[in-house]
Amino acid sequence: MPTETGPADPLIDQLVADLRAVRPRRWTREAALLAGLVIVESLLFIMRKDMRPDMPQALAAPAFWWKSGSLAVIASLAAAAMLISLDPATTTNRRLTGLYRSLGIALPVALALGWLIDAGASDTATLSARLQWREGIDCLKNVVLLSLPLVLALGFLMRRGATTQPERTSASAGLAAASIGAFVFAFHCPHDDPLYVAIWYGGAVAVVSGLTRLLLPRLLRW
Amino acid sequence: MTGRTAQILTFPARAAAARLPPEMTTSPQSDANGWGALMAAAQRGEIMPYRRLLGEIRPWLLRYFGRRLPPSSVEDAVQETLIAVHAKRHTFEPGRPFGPWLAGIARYKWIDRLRLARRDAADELPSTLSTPDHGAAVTSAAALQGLMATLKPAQSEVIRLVKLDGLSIQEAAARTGQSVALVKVNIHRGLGRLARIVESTTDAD
Repeated sequence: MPTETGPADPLIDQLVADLRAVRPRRWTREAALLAGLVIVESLLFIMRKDMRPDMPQALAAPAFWWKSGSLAVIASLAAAAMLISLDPATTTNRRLTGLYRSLGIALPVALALGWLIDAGASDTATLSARLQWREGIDCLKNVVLLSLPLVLALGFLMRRGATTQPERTSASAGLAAASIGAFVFAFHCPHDDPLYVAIWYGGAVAVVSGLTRLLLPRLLRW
Repeated sequence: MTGRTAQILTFPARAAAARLPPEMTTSPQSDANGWGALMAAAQRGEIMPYRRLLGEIRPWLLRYFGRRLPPSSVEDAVQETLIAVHAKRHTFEPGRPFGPWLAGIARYKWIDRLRLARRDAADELPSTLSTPDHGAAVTSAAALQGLMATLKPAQSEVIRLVKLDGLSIQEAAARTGQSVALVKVNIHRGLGRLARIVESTTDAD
């Protein structure tokens, strides 16, 4: 049926015929969904693996707060950037640019703070004793496993959304998923040594973000 | 992006607003042309506003891609964008301006087209072969021409010859004195650079 705006167009006819009511997407609702998932995952993980036995002492140690605080900040920034970037209107949005910039600052600041805490501790153990690679590998494995459900959830949100920068959005999603996974794991893992955290947690975050950055853009074409 | 290109890329909403009756332009919150309200109605499943919206954005998209792509791919890009608008209509937040949302999708499809051209860099596309009036029509892809000026001359020259004028790789090699392999490399790198430039610049919409 032609309208006053132009002649009939078969594609437009088809699209109009296919019209169904949809619920407009809101990133705040998706953020709430994500927060719910994080809480459920934390509860399940603590039920299965127990909280670290020295939790009261840990709560008094700056290293523990540094570890979980940094991960929480990075996870929130990355998740917010990822959710906001799913709206085509926000590609060049100032809020989004601000989030990417804050991430660029938060990562080195977190490492620098860790280094400061480390310099304050008069620990003279050897490098290999501090890294404890057996436990380190186990820690890396756990963080990767914990981030997988989040990669899936974020991937689902990304397919539903419409990012105009698939690479950046995928990298943010990977960073968010991995830092959330590491954050959840931090309540179980008894290691607060900044070097240990930087290498094993950092390694897991790098692996997950790198893989998501490589693989997700292929699934996001629209 | 050069000043000239930025001028060409200006979002035509203001021009459209000038043609509308005053009662449609009074609220600064809604779009001047009411597209946001039409889309909000379409999200509720209302057919008539949706048909009107698609009918109105189609000419806008034709102009948008007409300035940015060779004529042979404009229609494809418009159709792809309409399909994308349909598939992603739930990502529009009612109450927010429609223009940036549509422009974001159009820009994404434009980058997609540039990427596609890059992947087929070594193919001589029969669809872009020259026809008598082709040259004149191509120069109307003004924004594209403006962008090409930012490339290295060796790159922009072979892209123009093969991708816009429809010469074969061999002909372009003979014309420019570059080897066949170099022509392919220059097209590939040049188109990649174009896509990156478009992606990293703030479209003047």
